[in-house]
Amino acid sequence: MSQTKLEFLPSGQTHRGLLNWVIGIMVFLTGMSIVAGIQLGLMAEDWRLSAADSLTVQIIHPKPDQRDQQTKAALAVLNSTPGVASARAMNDGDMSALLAPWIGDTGLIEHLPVPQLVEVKLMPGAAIDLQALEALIVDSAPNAAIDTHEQWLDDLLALAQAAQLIALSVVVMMVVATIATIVFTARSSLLAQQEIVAVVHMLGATDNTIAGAFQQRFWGVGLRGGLIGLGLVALVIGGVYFFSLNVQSAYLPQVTFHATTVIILALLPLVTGFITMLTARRTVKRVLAEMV
Amino acid sequence: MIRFDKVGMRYGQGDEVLSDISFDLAPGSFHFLTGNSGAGKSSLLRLIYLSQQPSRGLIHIMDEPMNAASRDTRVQMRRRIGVVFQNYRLLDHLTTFENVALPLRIKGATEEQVKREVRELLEWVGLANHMHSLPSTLSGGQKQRASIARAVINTPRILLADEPTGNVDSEMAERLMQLFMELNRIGTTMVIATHDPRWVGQYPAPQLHLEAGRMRMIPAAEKAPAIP
Ligand SMILES: Nc1ncnc2c1ncn2[C@@H]1O[C@H](COP(=O)(O)OP(=O)(O)O)[C@@H](O)[C@H]1O
Ligand SMILES: [Mg+2]
Repeated sequence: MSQTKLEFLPSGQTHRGLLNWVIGIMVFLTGMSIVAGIQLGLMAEDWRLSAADSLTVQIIHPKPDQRDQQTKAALAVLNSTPGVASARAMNDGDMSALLAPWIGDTGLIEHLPVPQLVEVKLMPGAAIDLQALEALIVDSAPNAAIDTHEQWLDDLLALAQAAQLIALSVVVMMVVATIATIVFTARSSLLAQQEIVAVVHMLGATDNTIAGAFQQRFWGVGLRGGLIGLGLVALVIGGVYFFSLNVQSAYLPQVTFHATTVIILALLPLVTGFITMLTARRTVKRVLAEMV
Repeated sequence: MIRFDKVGMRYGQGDEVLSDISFDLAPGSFHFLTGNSGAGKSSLLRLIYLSQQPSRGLIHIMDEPMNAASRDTRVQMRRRIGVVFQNYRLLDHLTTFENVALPLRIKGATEEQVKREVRELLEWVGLANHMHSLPSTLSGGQKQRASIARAVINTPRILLADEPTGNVDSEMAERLMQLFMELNRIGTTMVIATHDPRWVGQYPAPQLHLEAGRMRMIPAAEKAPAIP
């Protein structure tokens, strides 16, 4: 005694096949923006954390012996400052590695008047009066200066934030464009089936029944589009990951995907299906409301 | 059963195509709706089967006021009114069986009930052999019978037919009229629109006669006015 299924729409409407792909492309762009946004956020957080408990002291002096002497003095001050976990003068090897991307591995560094850098790690949560510390260091090493990375970090974070904002607005625009596309398609689909809808309406079908038939189809369209989009995203991310494995470079940050990114991407087809379905439902019900 | 009080109707901003229509049809009655082409027969039927709203006046169907009825009330009412449309309005992509089954499926009947009732009815209207044919392969008379079957599958209290004998030969028309008489005998209130005076003479039934958008009742005994 199963209740019968009401199937009154003809199968196969070509423009919905096209809609699969249009939605697929939109979902792809949305997915890429979401990935970019989340990854940027994570990277910024990494930078912030690693920059917060470190600072650099530079000793800039053209004469190497003066430079070494002041470095020793600065190290002495630093090592006796509470809250400093470690202070280490970078050696020539460190410096050439740091400069290699710009001047190459040429041994040129020994002849260049590069400043001496002292890498300072702070104890987590240590509250250090940087101005007092700098004054103290300058007392015994007059050519020293503290670089807290703050200016550099602020710029970078602002940049990351701007990029995230752009990614977010791309997502919003894509969602709006997708909904608009679905509204158009649902309307034209309804228009193409006008006679069928009118007859079924006059035979006593409720608005919900009629909307339900359309909604069911558009759910499928949205889901397929979402899967196409997700497939494209996976293809691109897979490609990026593959290349990052082969190109080991100091410029490239290590590509890792946060669980949040993966979960959101996995949900994308379902969310797209839902949005498509609800949009089609609303559109059809609105058009039906105009019928007596 | 069907009551109109000073009903007027227009399409969009146009002139009234129906004016001051008043009548009250008793349950189980049989009426012809006559008038020349363009007199407003189809429009009047549309008001009864709730596909158009009157621009003024009151309409009661089965004692329920329809003017401000909710969408739900209208849906329920439509399920109790059978309509045979002028051009059949069968769905081309569905078989005869599925077309006739549509009102039952819309109502949420069980598959068992659908199978039994549709088969039975298709036999009754002589379409048992065309159950699985698409409407495009049926003759005019067969389509008309399929559309009648769809209209009565829900055993409606009211059956409206818009020029049901218009597109069929006179032998088929005769059979269709017999079918309507039979439905009326089991208590269905019938309104049959026709501009064919043959039927009106042959089957003595009162007429709702439309002329230039106004209505006049003609008792069963009288002959219909000849078409000029
Ligand atoms: N959908 C419509 N829109 C505008 N005018 C219509 C429409 N249907 C019918 N009419 C007009 O209403 C009048 C009555 O038409 P109709 O009810 O179809 O008459 P009948 O069925 O008696 O031939 C005619 O003048 C016709 O042009
Ligand atoms: Mg007509």
